[in-house]
Amino acid sequence: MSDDITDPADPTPPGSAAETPSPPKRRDRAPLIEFAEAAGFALSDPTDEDLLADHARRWTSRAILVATLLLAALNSPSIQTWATTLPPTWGSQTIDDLAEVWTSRLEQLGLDQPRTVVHDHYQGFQQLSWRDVVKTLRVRRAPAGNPKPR
Amino acid sequence: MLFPTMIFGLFFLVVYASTWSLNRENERRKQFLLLASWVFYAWWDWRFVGLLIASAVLNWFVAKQIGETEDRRRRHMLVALGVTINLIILGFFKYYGFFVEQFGEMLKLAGWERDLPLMHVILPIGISFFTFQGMSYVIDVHRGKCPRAHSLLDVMLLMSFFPHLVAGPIVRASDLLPQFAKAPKLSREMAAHGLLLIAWGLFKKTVIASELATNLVDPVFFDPTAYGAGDLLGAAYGYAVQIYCDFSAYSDIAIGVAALLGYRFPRNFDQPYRARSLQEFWRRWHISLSNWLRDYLYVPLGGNRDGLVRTCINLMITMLLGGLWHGAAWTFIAWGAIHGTVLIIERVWWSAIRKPDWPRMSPVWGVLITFNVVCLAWILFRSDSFATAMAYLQGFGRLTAPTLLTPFIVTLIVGGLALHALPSRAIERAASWLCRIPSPAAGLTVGVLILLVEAIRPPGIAPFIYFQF
Repeated sequence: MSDDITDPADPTPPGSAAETPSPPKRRDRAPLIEFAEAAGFALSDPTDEDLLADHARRWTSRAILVATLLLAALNSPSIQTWATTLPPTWGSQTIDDLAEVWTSRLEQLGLDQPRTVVHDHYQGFQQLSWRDVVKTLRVRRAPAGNPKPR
Repeated sequence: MLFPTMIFGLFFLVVYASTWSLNRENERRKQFLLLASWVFYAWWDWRFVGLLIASAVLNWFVAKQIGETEDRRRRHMLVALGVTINLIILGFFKYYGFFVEQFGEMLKLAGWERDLPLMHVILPIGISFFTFQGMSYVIDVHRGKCPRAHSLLDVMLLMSFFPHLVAGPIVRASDLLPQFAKAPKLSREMAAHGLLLIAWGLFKKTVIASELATNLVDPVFFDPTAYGAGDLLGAAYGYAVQIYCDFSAYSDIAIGVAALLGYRFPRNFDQPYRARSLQEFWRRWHISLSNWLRDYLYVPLGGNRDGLVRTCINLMITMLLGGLWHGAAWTFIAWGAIHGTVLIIERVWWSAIRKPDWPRMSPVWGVLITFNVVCLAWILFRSDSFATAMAYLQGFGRLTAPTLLTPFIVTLIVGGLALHALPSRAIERAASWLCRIPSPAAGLTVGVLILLVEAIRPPGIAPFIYFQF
C-alpha cells in the first residue's frame, strides 16, 4: 500500500513550495500590526485556545453592553438618584442636569413603566399587615360564586 | 466605593474594557489592575494606600530573603520576623486602643491608676484581610507550598487586587500567583457564572440584608429593652439572615467581578445554615478564614495530633483568636468562646462519650440545634456591649405582641433561610444554561435580573458588615 496520498485534481506536485505556506513577509503585514509591534506589544499567531478565549471575551463584552444599555434605558431613575447624591461641583452639576434630561425623555417614552410597576407592587407588599393577609386568605377560601342547585 | 453603587458600576466598566484591551501584554495588564486597585482603595482614604504598598513591599522582601537562603535557622527567623511585623501592623491599627484601655483597667484594679497615651487610631478598611493574605504568602513560601512571586508587582497585586481587597475572600498566594503568571483566558462558563453571581449578590445585599437591617435588626439591637420576645427572636433570626446575605453577597460579587476579569477566586460560603454541627458550619461559613485559621493557627498549635485535651485547648485558642480577629471587643472574644465551647462539646461527644451502637440523631435536629446555637452567638456578635447582649437575652421573658414582624419582614427572614434549601450548585447550573444562549439574550437576562433588583431595593446602601473587620 502506497503512503503517497495525493489528490489527482490538485495540480501542485507534492513537496513544492506552494504546499507549505511561508510566514508573511514584513512588507505583507497589516500596518496596524506593525505599529503594535513597534509599540512593544508582542503579537503571535493565535492558537485554538486563544481563539476560544477571544470568542468568549467578545460574548461577555456584548452581554455586558446589552445589560448596560438595558439598564440605562429602563433604570433611569436610579441614575438620577445617584447624580443627585454627588458632591456639588461643576462636573456633578453637569451630570445631574444630563441625568434629569435623560430621565424625563425616557419617561415621555414610557420606558420607566416596567420599573415603576414592579416598584409599586413591591411597595404594596411591603405595607401589608397581618390583617390584610388574613382578609386575602378568607376571600380566596370563600366560594367563587353561588353553589349550583341540585 | 461600595460594590452595589453606580460609581462602582462605572469603575468596573472602565477596568473591564481597559484590562482586556491590554490582554496580550500581561505585565501592563497587571500594572493597570494594580493602579485601579489603588484608586478603588483610595476612594475611602488615600492615606492608607501607602500602608498597603508598605505591607506588600515588606512581605515581598521577607519572602525573597526566605527564598534565597538555604540556612534553616535563618529561614525560621525570617518567617518569624515577617509574621511579627504583619501582626504589629494589624495590632497597632486594630487593637491599640483596645489593649491600652484594658491595660488601664488592669492598672486601676491594681490601684495604680495612670493616664495612658490613648490615641484615636483610624482603622484602615480591610486591614485584617490584606495582612492575613501577606502573612499566608510569607508562611507558604517558607513551607515550600507556594513558589516565590516573580516580581514585586505580583505580590502587590496579590494583596491589593480590588475585588477581594476590603472584605475577602482571603485568596491564598498559591491560588492567585500562578494566575498572574500569564494573561488570563476567559471562558463563557466563567463569564456567565460571574454575571449571575453579581446579580445574585446585589439581590442578597440590597434587598434582603438592607431591608432586614433597617426595619428590624438595627432598631431592636439599638434598644432591646423596648421590644418583646417575638421581636427579639425575629431580630436574632433576622440578623442571622442579614449577616449571611450581606457577607456572602460581598463574596459573590467579588468572585463574579474577578471572574469577568479572568481570575478564579475560591468559594467562600456554602449554605452555612444547612450545617448539622458547628464543625460543619465552619466548613461552610467564611471558608477562606476558617481554612486560614486551620492551616496557620490550629495545625501549627498541634491540631488534633496530641490527644483529646490538647485538641480541645487548640480549638479554644483558635476560636478565641478568630473572635478577636473580627474586632477589638470582648463581645467578639465571647462569641469565639461560645463557638470554641460548642466545638469542644461536639469533639468530646463524638470521641469520648458517644458509643458506636447508639442510634443516630435525625439530621433535621442537628441542623436546628446548630442554627440556634449560631443565632445565640450572633446576639453577642451584634451587640455593642455585654450589657446590651444581657438586656437582649433577658427580653426573651417579655411576652408581648411583636410590632416589627410584618408579613414582609417574615417573608424576608423565611426567604433568606430558604436560600439554603436551593440545590447546592444552583448558580453554577444556571450559568451553564446562560453561557449556551447568544450574548444579546444573556445580556438581556442579566439586565432584567438587575433591573428587578433595582426596582425593589431601598434607596441608599449601608456599608457591608465585614468592612469594619
